[in-house]
Amino acid sequence: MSTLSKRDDQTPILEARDVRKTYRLGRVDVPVLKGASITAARGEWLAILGASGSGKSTMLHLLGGLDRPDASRGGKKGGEILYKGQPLRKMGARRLDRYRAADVGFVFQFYHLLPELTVMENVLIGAMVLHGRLGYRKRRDEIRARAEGLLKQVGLSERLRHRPVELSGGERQRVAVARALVNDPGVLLADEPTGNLDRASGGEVLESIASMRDEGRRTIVMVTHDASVAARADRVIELRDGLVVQKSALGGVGRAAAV
Amino acid sequence: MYQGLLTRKYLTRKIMPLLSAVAVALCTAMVLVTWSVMGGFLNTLLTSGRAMMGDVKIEVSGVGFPYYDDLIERLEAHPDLVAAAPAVEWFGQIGLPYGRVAQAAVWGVDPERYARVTHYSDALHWRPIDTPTRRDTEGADPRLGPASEYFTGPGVRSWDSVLQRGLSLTAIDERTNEPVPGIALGIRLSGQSRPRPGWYEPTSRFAEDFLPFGGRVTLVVLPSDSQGRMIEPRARIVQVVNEIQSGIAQVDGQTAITRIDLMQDLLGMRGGERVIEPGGFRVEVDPVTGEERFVAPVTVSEPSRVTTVFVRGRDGLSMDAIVEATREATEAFIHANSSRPQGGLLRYLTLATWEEINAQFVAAVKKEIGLVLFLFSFISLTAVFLVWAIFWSMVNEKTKDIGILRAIGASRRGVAWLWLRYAVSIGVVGSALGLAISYLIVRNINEIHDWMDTALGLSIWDPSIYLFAKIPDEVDPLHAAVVGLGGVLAAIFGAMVPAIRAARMDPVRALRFE
Ligand SMILES: Nc1ncnc2c1ncn2[C@@H]1O[C@H](COP(=O)(O)OP(=O)(O)OP(=O)(O)O)[C@@H](O)[C@H]1O
Ligand SMILES: [Mg+2]
Repeated sequence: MSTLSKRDDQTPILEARDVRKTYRLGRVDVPVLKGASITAARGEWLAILGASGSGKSTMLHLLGGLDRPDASRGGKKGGEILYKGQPLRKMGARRLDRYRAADVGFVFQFYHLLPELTVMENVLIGAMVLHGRLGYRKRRDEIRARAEGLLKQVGLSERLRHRPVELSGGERQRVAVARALVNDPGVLLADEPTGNLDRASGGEVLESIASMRDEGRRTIVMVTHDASVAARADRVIELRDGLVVQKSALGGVGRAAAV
Repeated sequence: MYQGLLTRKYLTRKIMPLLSAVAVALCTAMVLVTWSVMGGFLNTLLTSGRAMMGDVKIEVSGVGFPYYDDLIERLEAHPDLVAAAPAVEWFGQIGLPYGRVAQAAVWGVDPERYARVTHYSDALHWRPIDTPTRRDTEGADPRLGPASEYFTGPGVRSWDSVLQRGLSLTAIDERTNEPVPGIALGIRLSGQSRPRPGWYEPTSRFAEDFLPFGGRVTLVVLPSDSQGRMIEPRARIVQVVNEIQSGIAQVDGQTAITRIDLMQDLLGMRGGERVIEPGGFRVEVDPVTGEERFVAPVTVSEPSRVTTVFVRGRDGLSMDAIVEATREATEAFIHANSSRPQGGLLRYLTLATWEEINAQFVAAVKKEIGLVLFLFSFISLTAVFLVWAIFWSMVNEKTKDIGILRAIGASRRGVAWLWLRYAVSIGVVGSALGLAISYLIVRNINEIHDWMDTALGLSIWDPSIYLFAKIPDEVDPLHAAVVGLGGVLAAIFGAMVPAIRAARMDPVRALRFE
């Protein structure tokens, strides 16, 4: 057991290996990712910097198991996404659903909250999806407490019964952060979390995200086109023309030490 | 879990799904109202048909048959049969005041035995009213006042005695003070006092004008002898003793009931010694001796005949069992009597239930119900399509939500179930609403119809066509359950394709959806 956990500690929690993604538009193949590789270590805050249309969102969707890399055809390999060393491609539909529910959490540029639900319900629904009816009933108090704690942490404890339309963009994004973390996933995937916000509220959202690193236990992969936002991360890589072209350690800390 | 939460939210915050619930409600209501009224119609048809003739009718129409008392004894001795009653059914004319004439089926019955087989006593209209309905009070029903105000004939004191006159079919002759046979007319036979269908109000208090109050009619029948040959028409003036309101238009409009002995007299069915060689004593010459001698008139002893025996079976027994019991008793009866004088007539005995007598009509009604239900169910497919269309557009509108749910881990199956569950809720709400609507409509259908009649001059239900004065107003719980379930299934059916589409959506595209 101990050797296994040791090996686990050394393998990157999330890895994209030579990933290709091609969209078909009519008869034309549009290659978006052309063999991009990314490695995220445990507890690391990684920023992926790239121009609009460079494939950042695409990469994040692949990492989150929402989409798959190209199938290997002929000599061209589609590449692999690995979570704790396990290829997502090998996971069945159920395991993949569970992966999205429990192992990673998403934050999107446009918040993507469910408009009919209250703030609290928007956070709880992540747990409902994961646990199902019976499981949720059993853990209800515990889950509610966690949701309230998260919303308090992002500064929204007074807004539990509000609906998304009654919140500002920054507030909505902080709800989205709380929702992404309700099941305590090891990885937070954030797609331009500040892209739609002014500097001040963007800063608040980044603060919220930073506060969720959970003493370095949580890995954050954040996509942005804004170098100053990327600067909050431990490490920044750049995506250009479908490839990771540059790795830099702008944040100073190269790699958060694995515990 | 989350499906339940979202279903609740979607249901309470959106107009569109409520529209599909309304569509489901209207369709279920339409089908159930139709089914209830038409099914109730068939039921009333079957039960009230029996109300005036019992379960089975044994008959030789026309000439009739003899030894019926033996038949009745055998029938009543059978453990599955309760009572049997003889009757003479004939066609006749009723001469009404002012020279008017009505054609009628005239039944001669033995009132006590007849009442044991049928609901005759319930069908008599002129009787005390114990608990007057609103309609009785509003219409100032004469039965609420003292009977003596209307009836002047001897022996009439109270409504109860009027009822007794009807039950015994006997009146008191004013000159001789002797009991004589009376007649009970179908309530609409006289053509009097019918302001609207299903209603009956006396317009005049004078016996001359209003028959039941001591009026007289001329009963004319055209008899035939035991060989079926027509004899001269026979007529008798009889007192009207009551009127029959059975609810069956055929009976109420075209039937008169009198005493069996009167009909047997008129039709020559009363047995006894009869001279068949006319001319009294005559002289015959012996061809051998040449002596003259007197020859006595030839007489035959004829048994009494009836055309019909009505039979009532034990309650709760199936119609088949009752028919079978009747058949047994009848066969034994034929076997025992066929070699007696006129016993040959027994070969012509037939046996039929009310439903069989009216088989063509009943089958037509059943077929009609089936057809109408089929058509309406078919029309209800519009509800399925409406749900389909609305769900299709809801799934479209909620594409992003579907993407979000998939992103936070919802399975395809879970997403499909979200929409199906939603459809179930809409189906349940719609069906419940539809059942409530149809219950209200059906229970009040007669009031609604009356209102349409008075307010809009629309009278759809014509009792002369539909046999019954009252539109059936019962909802069969089984029918309600079937229709309600149908409504829910229709909603699920309509949501099926949109739900599958939602489940198959590519989550990334769904998230990028604007
Ligand atoms: N479903 C699709 N079909 C065809 N092309 C697509 C599809 N999805 C994305 N693309 C294309 O892939 C490229 C990369 O898109 P992606 O959204 O990953 O870029 P991005 O880096 O996130 O851009 P932005 O900063 O604007 O969000 C774009 O050129 C886009 O047009
Ligand atoms: Mg993007």
